[in-house]
This record gives sequence, structure tokens and C-alpha cells, in this order.
Amino acid sequence: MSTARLIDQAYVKTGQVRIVSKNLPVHGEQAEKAAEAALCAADQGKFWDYHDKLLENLYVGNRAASAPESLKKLAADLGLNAATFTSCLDGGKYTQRVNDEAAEAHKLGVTGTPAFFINGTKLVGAQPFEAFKTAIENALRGGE
Amino acid sequence: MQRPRLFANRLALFVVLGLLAGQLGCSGGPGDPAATSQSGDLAALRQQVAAQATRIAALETRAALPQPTVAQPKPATGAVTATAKPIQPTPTVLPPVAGLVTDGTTKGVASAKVTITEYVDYL
Repeated sequence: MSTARLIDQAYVKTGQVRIVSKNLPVHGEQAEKAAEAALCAADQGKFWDYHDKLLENLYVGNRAASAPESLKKLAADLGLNAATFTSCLDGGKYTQRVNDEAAEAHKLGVTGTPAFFINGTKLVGAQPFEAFKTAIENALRGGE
Repeated sequence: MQRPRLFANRLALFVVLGLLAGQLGCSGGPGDPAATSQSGDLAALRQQVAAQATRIAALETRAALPQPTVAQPKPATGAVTATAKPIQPTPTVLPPVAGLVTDGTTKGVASAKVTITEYVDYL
């Protein structure tokens, strides 16, 4: 998460980089539900807050935060409308989108997460900021 | 460890006393040169006896005192012997950067020269 924040500070805030988040749940149904929950949060304008909280918990070893019973609690903690969120999540509004994004990732040869494409250049794994910096600077200079 | 030493000291004392008694029994009368020499020896022996007696008394006093003990760490009942674990650094989470442009699952302005597409799994 610290790497993401450093990228935000150095490149996103300065208008040089845009980040698009997609899903590749590789840990089964629970991971798929967590991905759908994040998209349901996006409906209420809180995708990045929700996304960051889930990843923060994962980062500090709290995998229980992505458990089904925790997804709705996190939504409540972030001030999301509970009824809307529950309807979205339980109704499977984003099940197909998550599946489509996973299929797209597989087509691109991505088999593990996190994975990144920086103007098309693949970077796999939780890399340090320096690795991203190198790739971003290269892309800013006109490389891929 | 004090007891054998005390016994040895006592034995030494008895030996000295025995020798002293022997000396006394064999000493000659006054004016005898040999007796004069033995008198000097006797004084020396008496000093040795007194010194030994003092030493024995000191050792007995020490032996009577509570002996210092070295505390041995004992594992608690049922405790599992711990193996040294490397200290894991606590992950640091930096605070979110304020004021970023977001749109759904996209962050940053559309005119940005570089696009990072991330694929994540929340487990």
C-alpha cells in the first residue's frame, strides 16, 4: 500500500499517471465477492476507499477483512448506504464484470496478483516503488 | 564444600597440638641450649596453633551463614521452549493522498500520459 501511495503522490496527483483498477480473483468465491463488493462501493463513489481498505487489511495480514461478513461491515464503516450496497452485492450485480475482467487478464497472460501494465509493459508482484518509478519514467520518456 | 575443609583444618590443629605436646614432653630443663632452642620453636608453634584456631573459627562462622545461591531459570510448567524468531518489521501503511481525481475504478486525470492497469485480488 505504501508503494501505491508513493505513486499517487509522485505521479497521479501531478497528472502524469492514471490508474485503472481491474479484478483477477484467484482465491475462489470469497475473493470474487470481495471484488464485487468493491465495485458495489464504486456505485456510491467509494471504490478507492473500499479498495484501499481491503488491500490495507491484506497488507497487514488481516485476510478476515475480505470475508463475506466483513464486506458489509466495511461498507457501513465507510458510510455507504447499507440497503443499496447489500442489494448490489447479494444480487450479483457485478458478478459478470468480475468474470470478464478475470478472463481478460488471463488472455494477457496474467496468472497471479497483483499484476500491472504500465502503458502496456507488464510488472508482476508487489514491487517496490523504485520498480514502478523506473517503468513510469520510461513510459513518460516515450517508451512503452 | 566447606565441611571437608573444616575437617582438614581440625586435623591440622590436632596434629599441631600433638607435636606441641611432644615438644613439651621432650624439652630439657632451663639453661640447656637445646631447651632454649626448643622454647623458641614452642613459641612459634603456639602462634601457629592460635592462627589455625582463629582460621577455623572464621570458617565455622562462614559455614553457619546462609549460603548464597545462584538462581537457575526454570521453564514454566507446560511452557514450550521458545525458539528465537526473527523480528518481523511491522508493515507501514502511508496515509491516502488527498485531492486525487477519481471516477469509478479509475484514479487520475484522463489526460495523463501513462496509464497503469492493475489486476488485484483482495485475498
